[in-house]
Amino acid sequence: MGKQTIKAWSWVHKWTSLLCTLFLLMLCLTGMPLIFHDEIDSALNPDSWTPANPAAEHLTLDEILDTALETRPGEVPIFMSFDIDRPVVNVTSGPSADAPGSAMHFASFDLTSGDLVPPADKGESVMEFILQLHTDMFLGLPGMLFLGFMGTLFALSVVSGVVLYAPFMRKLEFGTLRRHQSKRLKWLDYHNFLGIVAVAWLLVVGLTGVINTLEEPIIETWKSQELADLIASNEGVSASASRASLDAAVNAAIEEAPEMELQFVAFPGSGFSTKAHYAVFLHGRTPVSEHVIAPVLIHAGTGEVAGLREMPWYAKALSLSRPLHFGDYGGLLLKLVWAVLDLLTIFLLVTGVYLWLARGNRRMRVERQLDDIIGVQA
Amino acid sequence: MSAGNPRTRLSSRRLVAIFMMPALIFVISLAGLVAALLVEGTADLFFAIAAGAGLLAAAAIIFRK
Repeated sequence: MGKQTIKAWSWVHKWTSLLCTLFLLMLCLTGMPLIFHDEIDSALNPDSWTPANPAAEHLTLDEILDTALETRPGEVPIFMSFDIDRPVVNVTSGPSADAPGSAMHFASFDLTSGDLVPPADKGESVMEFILQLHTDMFLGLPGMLFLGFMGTLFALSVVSGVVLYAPFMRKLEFGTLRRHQSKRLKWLDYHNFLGIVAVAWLLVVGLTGVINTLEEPIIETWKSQELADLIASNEGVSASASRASLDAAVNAAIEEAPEMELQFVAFPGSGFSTKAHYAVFLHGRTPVSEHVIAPVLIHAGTGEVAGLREMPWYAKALSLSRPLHFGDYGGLLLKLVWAVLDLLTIFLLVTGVYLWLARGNRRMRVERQLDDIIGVQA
Repeated sequence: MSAGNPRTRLSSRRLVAIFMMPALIFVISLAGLVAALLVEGTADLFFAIAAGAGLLAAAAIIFRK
């Protein structure tokens, strides 16, 4: 690698890193509690709830929906989801199906009685604050896209770091840490060594983070391209016209894909459906397919099945990038690995800034760079 | 590799030596990260360890005498 090439890659590494450092630091700090959100929720909200009539037959989804809407007069349903380990249905409602998140109301109902299930929301506002800061810095789509750009810079800084690793390690063995020479050299070695061993995780988390920031454009593209025919044929159809049975819709959806199971229902007009359809989202039962969801669209007025619409590759990529970004898919040990790597990233950011600040004047910099690249055996 | 100053040019043999361990750690970590997503059960434990291969390597080197 020629001097000019090294200089160019150094420039890329320096500026991509410096520009994203502050935001990456925020993402690492807010990401840490998000890794353990399940454990934090469980600790703050020990589950003492039991169903009213454990042996009773479950109420229908239509009955639950009617009960939910009775408690929220004037509102429309937006989403319905289902707890995995207890007979509880969650209904999200709002003044309109396309209401923003802040205007939505979330309530849980006992499937055996229709009673409201007390919300397990201790600490929820703090976690929501952290999640929103992590996702879009309270700036909506512009904030998400900005963080996506920062994530792209971060990925570039990792790649350029790998390229620069070769000339820096020219005369050094893997894992060399020159602890007894200058302070700067010591931190440079730690920065290079810890950076190179964490490359896989840094790239996976960085790039899946970038994909996650594209959630809104991806969903919009899916709707405008894959569901365009359904949307066009139902242009002007009112979402609040007579409603077909929700239970029948869900059963029809499961018949369309018996190898899949129910995940959630998006009501007409919501962000995940058209103005005229229930979108019944199913997911696979195997570890490979459980993260890939597919909606069955059912006309909310007639109950007619419009068919299962496989999500396109970019939407599947989004589905897979969520768990890969947050690390909540492989048990507590994987979460601990995630947390340590998160701390390691903070270390890389801090040492990166330190190495930049400790670079000294121009002449010293040139000498140091040559020393660093030529390498001094420990 | 581009041809350049002999002081900074790296032979492909040296390049392989430099990237041998990092590449190995990269492959093991990536395989662990992906496999933990695709497989469930006790194997998760094994894949989580694989995902943390870089940390194990780092700990081994940093804490060696």
